[in-house]
Amino acid sequence: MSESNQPYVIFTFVAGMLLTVCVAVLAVFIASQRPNVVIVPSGGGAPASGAPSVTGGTLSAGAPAGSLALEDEPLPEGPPTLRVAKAQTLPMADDPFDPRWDAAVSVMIPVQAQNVTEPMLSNVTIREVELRALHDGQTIAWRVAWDAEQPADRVESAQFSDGVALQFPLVEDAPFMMGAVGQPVRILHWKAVWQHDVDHGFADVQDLYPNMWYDLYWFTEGDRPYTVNGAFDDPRAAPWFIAQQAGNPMANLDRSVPVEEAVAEGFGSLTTLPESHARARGAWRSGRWAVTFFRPIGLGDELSQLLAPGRTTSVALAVWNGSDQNVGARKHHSLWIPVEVQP
Amino acid sequence: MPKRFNWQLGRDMEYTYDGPPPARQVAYIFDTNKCIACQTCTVACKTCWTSGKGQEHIFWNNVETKPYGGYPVGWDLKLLEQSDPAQWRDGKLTSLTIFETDGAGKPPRGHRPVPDDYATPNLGEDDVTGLAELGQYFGDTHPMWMFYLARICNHCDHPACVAACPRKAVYKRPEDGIVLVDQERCRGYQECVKACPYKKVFYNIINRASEKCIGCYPRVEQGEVAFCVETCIGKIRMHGFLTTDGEPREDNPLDYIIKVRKLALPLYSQHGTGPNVYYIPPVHVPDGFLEQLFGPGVEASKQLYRNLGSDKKLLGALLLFGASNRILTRFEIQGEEAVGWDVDGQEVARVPFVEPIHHRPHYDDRYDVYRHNTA
Ligand code: SF4
Ligand code: SF4
Ligand code: SF4
Repeated sequence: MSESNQPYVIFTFVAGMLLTVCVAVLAVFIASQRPNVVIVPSGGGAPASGAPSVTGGTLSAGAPAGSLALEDEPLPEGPPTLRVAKAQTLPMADDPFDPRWDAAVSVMIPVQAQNVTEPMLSNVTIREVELRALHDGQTIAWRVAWDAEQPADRVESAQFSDGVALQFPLVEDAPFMMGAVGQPVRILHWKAVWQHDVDHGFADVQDLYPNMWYDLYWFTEGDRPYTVNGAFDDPRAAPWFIAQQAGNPMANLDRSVPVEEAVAEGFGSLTTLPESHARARGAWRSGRWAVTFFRPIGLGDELSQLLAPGRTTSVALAVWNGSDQNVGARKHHSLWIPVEVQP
Repeated sequence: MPKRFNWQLGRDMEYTYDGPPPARQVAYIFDTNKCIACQTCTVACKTCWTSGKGQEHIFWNNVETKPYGGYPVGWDLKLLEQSDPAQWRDGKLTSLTIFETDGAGKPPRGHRPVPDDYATPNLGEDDVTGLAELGQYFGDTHPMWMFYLARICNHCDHPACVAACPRKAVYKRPEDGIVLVDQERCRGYQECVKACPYKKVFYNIINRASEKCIGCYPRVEQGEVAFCVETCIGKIRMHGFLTTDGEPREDNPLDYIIKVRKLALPLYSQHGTGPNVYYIPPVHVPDGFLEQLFGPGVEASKQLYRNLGSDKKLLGALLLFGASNRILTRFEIQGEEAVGWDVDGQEVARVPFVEPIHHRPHYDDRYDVYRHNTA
């Protein structure tokens, strides 16, 4: 080895040591961020007999039946597995509060403020969400529920939507935060604002401001208040609906589902898929949101293969409190939760 | 985080992205001394670009009365309240910009206007700083003041809107520095709305995406000035390009007025975005207030303005404001005329220093009519 190479070798050695230390610190950090999982049996008491999803009332290896907070116990090997049991009939797709959901085991999943990438969430307002899942061989159904004092489902400047998203890794080891380049994740994202559109019609200007007066919209048809769906059908009016013209999925004036399917390969890369196979419905009742996601199993696409009976995968959740300016990366999220879709 | 040189601040500055400057930078000069707040510019922009549903509150161009007015309400005061006072030493900013206040890597410091802030498009219109004493109108110059501030997006050198967008949906065009929101990618997070110190990005509740002044880019691509510039009744505006690939050119009217002579000054440059609308400060307004808006060059600029009568080249450059709907890239003084050429090298403006006097007789032979107001 020549003299001139020595500084380089020393540098490489030092850099290598630094890297090792960093990786070690990161590993400890990740381990300490592991979610504490609380298992609650169905019906608030003993497992309902005959409920296929709760046999034994356990979700995780070694976790005893009954309501149990693992916080004070030695941590298990990893987060308990969510077993998606097979049911004869699924709860109603359009009623997130269908009592049939009680038959499914619920997993309480702690969520935390997104503080890995900017913009971060500074204020934690949601601490946990309740997740249940069932399938009937045809369709896999999820229900997420969490406390929300008020629903945030209106569109305005500086106002944001409540929402919840389920994320699945399309390749093993995809990072739990939006995947990474070459390690895509698939996301089902429900938004309260979209639910409001579906339930009550697209939120128009006069829905927010009934007395709004405006002198001039170009090429309108009919009369005031010139509803956005109906009065602007003249193609010459289209240029003022730029995002809609550009095909922006946010600007869908004729929304029929409150959920989008999207892929991501890292922060800022979320891309809505042209077609959403999922159906969803959210309802807010007495200080609580419940949102269901239903998706066919036999589609043959990547996600339905991933969630086919007998498969194991993971799910991560994100939840937004619109009343507290949660939007985009300003969200609460979980880590990966192992999922086992029972045959 | 990369450091970039901010020439308006005379120092390097933290900024989210690095990259070469655009091939040329779109820029505007507004002479506040001449604006009459007729709002023709506002209406021109609104009628053309933002008259759709959901755009009711969107004014890419607005004209407000300073010191009290503003749209959205308190757009500038709310940020000033969150910032330390700007400190300048020898033309160099020693206080922190919005990119530095919260530390490297953090989103720019900013605030989101609430819906009520958009409810009054011209709050404070024509309000002066105080009441005039009885009889004061007949006396000497009275001490109250106000002036009109016409505002559009600044197509900043270091845009806060670009820095804040987590989806990289806001971008600065390499060819002319115009800053645009990608209407396909924007998901309405409104991070840009929060970050822009000038509040020139607006959220559209129908399109559910953010929208901002597009710098009339389809016109700029044809070598034409923006609508708000062409329609300006007071001819207070000049629209063109600053040189970015070398020294400022003495024959480029924008380079000359802004960089060579420093007659026109950026608005709230202390925030660090490198805004590209340059204002000739109102000569009747006290320096203290103006320096908060336009920085330490105010008094020198006022001196230049007051002295225009004996500053032929500078005066000639100002004569070309509103003289053509083409963008001027070169100008020259030829005898008693200021001459301007467009991007294609065509002469498009020739303005005399003194307008010729046309005498129109009381009786018009051609039409066989009498004129009644020719005195
Ligand atoms: S003025 Fe605001 S919107 Fe315009 S480029 Fe600058 S930061 Fe962006
Ligand atoms: S440059 Fe064009 S888009 Fe921007 S404010 Fe002026 S007229 Fe409106
Ligand atoms: S058109 Fe010109 S004079 Fe009239 S308000 Fe606008 S900038 Fe001022």
